[in-house]
Amino acid sequence: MTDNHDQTNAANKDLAAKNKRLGIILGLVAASFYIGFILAFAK
Amino acid sequence: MSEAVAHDDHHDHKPTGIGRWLFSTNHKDIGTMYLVFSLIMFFVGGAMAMVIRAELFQPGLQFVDPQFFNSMTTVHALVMIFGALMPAGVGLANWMIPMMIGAPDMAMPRMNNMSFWILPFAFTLLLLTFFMPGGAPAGGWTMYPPLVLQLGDGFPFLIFAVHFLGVSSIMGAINIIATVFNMRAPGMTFMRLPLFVWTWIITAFLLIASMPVLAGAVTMLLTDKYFGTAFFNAAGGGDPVLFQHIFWFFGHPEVYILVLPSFGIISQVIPTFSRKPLFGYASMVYATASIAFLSFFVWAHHMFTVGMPLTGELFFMYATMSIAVPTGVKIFNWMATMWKGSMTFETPMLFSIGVLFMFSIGGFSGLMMGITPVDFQYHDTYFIVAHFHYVIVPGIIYGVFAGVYYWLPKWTGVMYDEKLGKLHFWLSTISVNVLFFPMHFIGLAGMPRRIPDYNTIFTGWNQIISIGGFAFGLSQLILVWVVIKCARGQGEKATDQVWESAHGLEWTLSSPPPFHSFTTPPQVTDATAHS
Ligand code: HEM
Ligand SMILES: [Cu+2]
Repeated sequence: MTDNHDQTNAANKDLAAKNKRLGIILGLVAASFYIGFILAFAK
Repeated sequence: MSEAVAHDDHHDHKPTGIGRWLFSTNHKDIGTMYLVFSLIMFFVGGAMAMVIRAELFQPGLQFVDPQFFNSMTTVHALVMIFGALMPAGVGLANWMIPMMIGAPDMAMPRMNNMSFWILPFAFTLLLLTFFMPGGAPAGGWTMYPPLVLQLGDGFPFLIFAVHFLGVSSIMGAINIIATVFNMRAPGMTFMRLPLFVWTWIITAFLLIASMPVLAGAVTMLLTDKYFGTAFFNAAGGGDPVLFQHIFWFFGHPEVYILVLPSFGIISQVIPTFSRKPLFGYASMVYATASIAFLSFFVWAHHMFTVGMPLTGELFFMYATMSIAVPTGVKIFNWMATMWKGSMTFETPMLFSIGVLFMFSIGGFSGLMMGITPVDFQYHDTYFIVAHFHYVIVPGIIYGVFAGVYYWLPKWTGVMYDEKLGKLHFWLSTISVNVLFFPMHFIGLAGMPRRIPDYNTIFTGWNQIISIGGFAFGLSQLILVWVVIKCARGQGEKATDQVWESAHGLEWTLSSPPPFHSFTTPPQVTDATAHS
């Protein structure tokens, strides 16, 4: 039971890290579109 | 074992009081908040539309001054698009996606809370402008410079509201993508996803690609007004038409952001009430993806009259027509799903069939306006107002209604009142056509959009349109009544499956589902998958 619990915790941590990584990547994509668009038209 | 059960009980404990909502990280509660917020905004925006239709009941000026009239058209659009339609889609996504893919919640529950609570804040900023010197935004929801720069103290509030709305929907989109990519139950492969989930992933990518562009455009407006830049100021070497290009590079994908979730909903509803699997599942996915991809190459069909090189006009004309192909595939698939099915016509099905018929009317007028030479006649007339209200009201909003009626018994555990649902559908459908169809006629006859006064020859149709408008507005109270009855548990008890032929993981949960569902992921096989 305890083992099982530890395993789910480890899996949850793994998943949380995966989610965070994807979130940061997508957030950076959005932010760079934003900045990029403005810079592209700034002269 | 007993420990495991106790553990589950503990998890199903709902927080109480106002804190349950303020600090919620539960996808169902957040979904409910999004939907309630959307409904409130639907009535706020609707009240503004009633002011517009009261003023246009007769030529001449009756009730409001022209400046306020212009604020009504502008803020009506902003409230409906960003306050009613988008939150409705995100609310349904929040409620349904985790239950459809067998996940316990959204991937980032705390960000989910933030995405929602930004919305009331942003709309407070926007609506406060009514009480400021210079009034609320009145230059149209498209915010074209130089007109928009004439707005008074409300200007920065408008700009920041739009930024916040953008941030909220980007966070929502990131959450949805992470949820679907990382949290699917074992066996829930991509090609087994329910179509509502598919349309939402594609919508989420559209959001991430297009909302930053809108944010960039309004940032440039802000710096043009206050910080001496000249992005859109010809006197400083800029170009006001540039704003239109940037805005519509966001704006056209945005219309698909609004409509794709609705397409997803009717792709769930039509098979259920036709008692057949969805026809052409894979082609549905590819058609949705191609619509989304193509939507980035058609933006200048909003600007045919601005004076582009001929090659540009032609490119955007052909690109616009080409979207009819994947759209046609989808319409064909929905019809083929119904073909020879044992159909029944409960309220969700009625609204879905309404989408099929009336979205197509809007699609056809869209194709007409996509033809460059004739758009010179249609542009900025009531014809375009007819077009986008057909695609939006009986296209998108009907899709949302279909979803609400379809899932309401699942959410609340009781069946909605079918008589009231049908009454809501028929009154809405009659009035929506009285409201929007004659707009084609007065548009072709030359009545411009966004004006408080008009030539007396348009009086007759305008009166009919206004009557349709008031009737449509009143009919929506039936929906509120239906929802309140269900929320209070008045009605027949719903079974878990709710609909005889409903398939998918969400229907394996109890009605209403436990506060925390799928804490242990289900195993998905071909037999239990949706398609
Ligand atoms: C079926 C494919 C569609 C085509 C070919 C199409 C085409 C067009 C064209 C050419 C215009 C510009 C008209 C003008 O300014 O003269 C337009 C405007 C508009 N369309 Fe569509 N459209 C389609 C679908 C949609 C959908 C699905 C939506 C909404 C979900 C939508 C919403 C709008 C809006 C809001 C405007 C007006 C924007 C404004 O000037 O305020 N359209 N459409
Ligand atoms: Cu467009």
